[in-house]
Amino acid sequence: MTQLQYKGTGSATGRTGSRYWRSKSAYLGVIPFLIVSGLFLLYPTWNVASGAFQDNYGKFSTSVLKEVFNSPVARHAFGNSLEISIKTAIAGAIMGGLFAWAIVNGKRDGIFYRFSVALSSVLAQFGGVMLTFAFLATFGFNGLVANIALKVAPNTFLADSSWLYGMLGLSVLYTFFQIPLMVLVFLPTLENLKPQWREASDALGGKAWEYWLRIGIPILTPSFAGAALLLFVNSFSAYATAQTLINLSDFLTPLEIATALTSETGGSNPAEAKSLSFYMVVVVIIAMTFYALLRRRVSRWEQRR
Amino acid sequence: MSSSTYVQLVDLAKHFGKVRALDGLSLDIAQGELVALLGPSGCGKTTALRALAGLQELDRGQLIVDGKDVTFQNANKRGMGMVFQAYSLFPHMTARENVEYGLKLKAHKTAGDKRKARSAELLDLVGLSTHANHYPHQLSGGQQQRVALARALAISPKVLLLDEPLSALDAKVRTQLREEIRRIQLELGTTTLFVTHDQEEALSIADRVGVMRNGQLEQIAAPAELYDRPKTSFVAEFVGLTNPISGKVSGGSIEILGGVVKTLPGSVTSGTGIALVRPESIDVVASKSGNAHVAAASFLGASCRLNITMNDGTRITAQLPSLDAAGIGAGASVTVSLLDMPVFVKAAG
Amino acid sequence: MFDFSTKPFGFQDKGRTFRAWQIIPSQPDLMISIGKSLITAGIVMSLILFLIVPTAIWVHLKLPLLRRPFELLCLLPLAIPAIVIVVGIAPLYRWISIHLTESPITLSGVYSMLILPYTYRSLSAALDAVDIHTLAEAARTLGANTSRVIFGIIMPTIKTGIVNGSFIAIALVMGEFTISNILNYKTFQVVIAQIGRTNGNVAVAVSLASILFVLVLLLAIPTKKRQGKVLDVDLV
Repeated sequence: MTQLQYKGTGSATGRTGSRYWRSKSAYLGVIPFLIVSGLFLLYPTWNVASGAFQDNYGKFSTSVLKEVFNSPVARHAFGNSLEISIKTAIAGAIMGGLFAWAIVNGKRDGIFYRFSVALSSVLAQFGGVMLTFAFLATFGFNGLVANIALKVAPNTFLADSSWLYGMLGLSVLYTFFQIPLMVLVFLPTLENLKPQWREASDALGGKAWEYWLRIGIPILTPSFAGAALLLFVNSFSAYATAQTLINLSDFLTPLEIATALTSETGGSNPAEAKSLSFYMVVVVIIAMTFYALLRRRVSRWEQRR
Repeated sequence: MSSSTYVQLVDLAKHFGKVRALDGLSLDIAQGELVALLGPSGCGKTTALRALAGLQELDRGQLIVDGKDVTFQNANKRGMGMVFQAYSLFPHMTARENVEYGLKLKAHKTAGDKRKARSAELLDLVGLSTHANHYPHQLSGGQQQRVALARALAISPKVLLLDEPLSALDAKVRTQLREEIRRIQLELGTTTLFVTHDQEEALSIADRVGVMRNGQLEQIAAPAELYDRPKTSFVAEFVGLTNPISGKVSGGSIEILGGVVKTLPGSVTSGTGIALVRPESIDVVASKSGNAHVAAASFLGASCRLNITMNDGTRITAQLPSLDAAGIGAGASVTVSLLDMPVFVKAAG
Repeated sequence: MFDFSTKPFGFQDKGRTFRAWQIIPSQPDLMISIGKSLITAGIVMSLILFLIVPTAIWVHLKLPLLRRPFELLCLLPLAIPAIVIVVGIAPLYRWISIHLTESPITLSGVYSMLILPYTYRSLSAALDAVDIHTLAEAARTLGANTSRVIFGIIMPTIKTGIVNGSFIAIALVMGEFTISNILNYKTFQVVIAQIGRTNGNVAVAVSLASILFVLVLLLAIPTKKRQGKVLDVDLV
């Protein structure tokens, strides 16, 4: 910083003090924010990050990390988490993408458009608990569809609700709340598909499939992949739906973490929770890094000088 | 219809809701000619262009290119090269790949070597050989439009269509690029339709300029004729600057500024009319007891613009070559007279 | 579309009745939790308006060096799932429960951090679109002091960004389950889950009602003439 000792001569407000301190004082403005974010964001992050490398007595050790890494239960849960996240990310991306496409092709300011976007925004935040109950009321034991199916098609899976309570049911549920998120994330991309590109391709003699093959799909793919990554992270981090639907504590990693933290029998194991969290965060950070890279590529294309 | 007519727009009509974008527009373009469609926004010029390209459907009318009726033909079969106002380059392809795009399509399929040679030739033509491997976001606006031009020309189009290609660019780039476009167009002999709202642009590069208003063609003529002999008051006022001066009209002449001047066909024929006088048709001479004095003078380099107040209160703007305006500054007393050029007179009030 | 048509309106045995809906107001837990959640939402919005937005503006205006770190901080919650945050923050909330208050309203602290990425994204899009430096300088030369500049001039200009961010805040507070469930606070979603275990129909009715309510709220907010998104969840 500059070493100018400016003793306030010519200062309009008559304040004295060196220019150096005056410029530094602006930094004071962020202190309130730092306090709040320090407490509610930085502290927990640090707590988990450092706690993963400690044992339950506070000493530095990677023993819990290793233990978790090698534990078959933890691995099984982690595998399930990854599996469901990948599957639902892809399914949600495709279905959400199609929805978004349908929306974009409608009137831009029409009621259908606004309604769809509003609905997606709401559902993207509300997902979890409510959607689960909706499904339970419909497909679960004594649910609407299940009851009808019992009378009409008793041998199909619709009549026997047990599918809902396992991997399949969970996947279906997850996909359902992935779709609104996909719509929200992917819609801007579709809107940025400039009509001039299609027109230019047409004017140059291109047929529709040529446009899609050479222009449309290559341009959409990075954003689509990025959106799918977001969906993956969303799925991977999800807790509410699983907790509401399935009470097995070891089915998915988030459930495992919750159990480790709040276990009523035998006391909680915060170190284990933190280690599991650590692995989760690693996966999330990897996914978000790829997402950031993809976004950067897309935004470069959108740049104009 | 001359034998070299290449493109015909016949009685085009198109409405959007209550607005009539095209209202009976007819226009011929000769082979190798550059016609500019000029007019304010909303006059329908872009609609006409896009209709010719096949990107806009018409309510009524015919489009004939090289003897063939293409009115209902798909855009991708018309063989026209189109340059858009902005954003039309494919962002994920380099300049060269953009230019080569048309040649990769089934419609114009060209083998690898010939394709590369062609794209190199065109990039050279627009002066961007060194940027062949750059992406659009690495190019300036002017450079992007050059690539767009090269891309459109790559397929050796029958007609070149330019939709306000320079409107999004800086003034200096605009002037440079429009001259290049003209140079290339003359060199290749491509029949061209150029849409713009900038009258200087249209006048400077076109063989003929068509002035449009409310979906109709007001007048189409060579630039000089449009400027000197406008057929309607709209054309007179839209193209170039005018001084509205009122005077009495009779027998094909109008009395203004202490003199009498012939009126152009289409003018008001009697009563009081408002003459639309060009600034350079006004002669200004310094004199001790003149009929006016200078309110302000602007030095424009080669010429000088003088804001003059007549003794009777009328305010006019005159333009003189700087050499002739030497010594005439603000406050100077001058004698103002009219050069013997016919003027267009519109109705008063 | 989403098969909300298959969500029963709380029917008992044969036929549909609105009985489940009618029970709603008589569930004390539910009503209390709705009230508390709304208050929490209010606090979160205040934090947005009086802490986050001004800080973002301050950083943009005066502390260009901090812009990148600030952005990273705001986007940090994206990398840390709620389940992980709750692990780390549990001791803090234990302390708060014991020494300050047991009310779930204290969750507003952590909630405001959860929405940081979304709020920041709405904000920074708006801040970039408007040249706030010029605005601030113009206001300054006319005599406005700092807080006037921030609250009176810049914030109204980026109103839409703020509104979008605030809306997401409400949705998040009302929809949050993970943290409150594990920390044992009785928020709206937690109570719904509780009810759902015993009386599924009521739970569904409540869910549907709240979604409709928020939906109507969102549709009522006028959206500016967009060239793009209404709610931009495009992060990073």
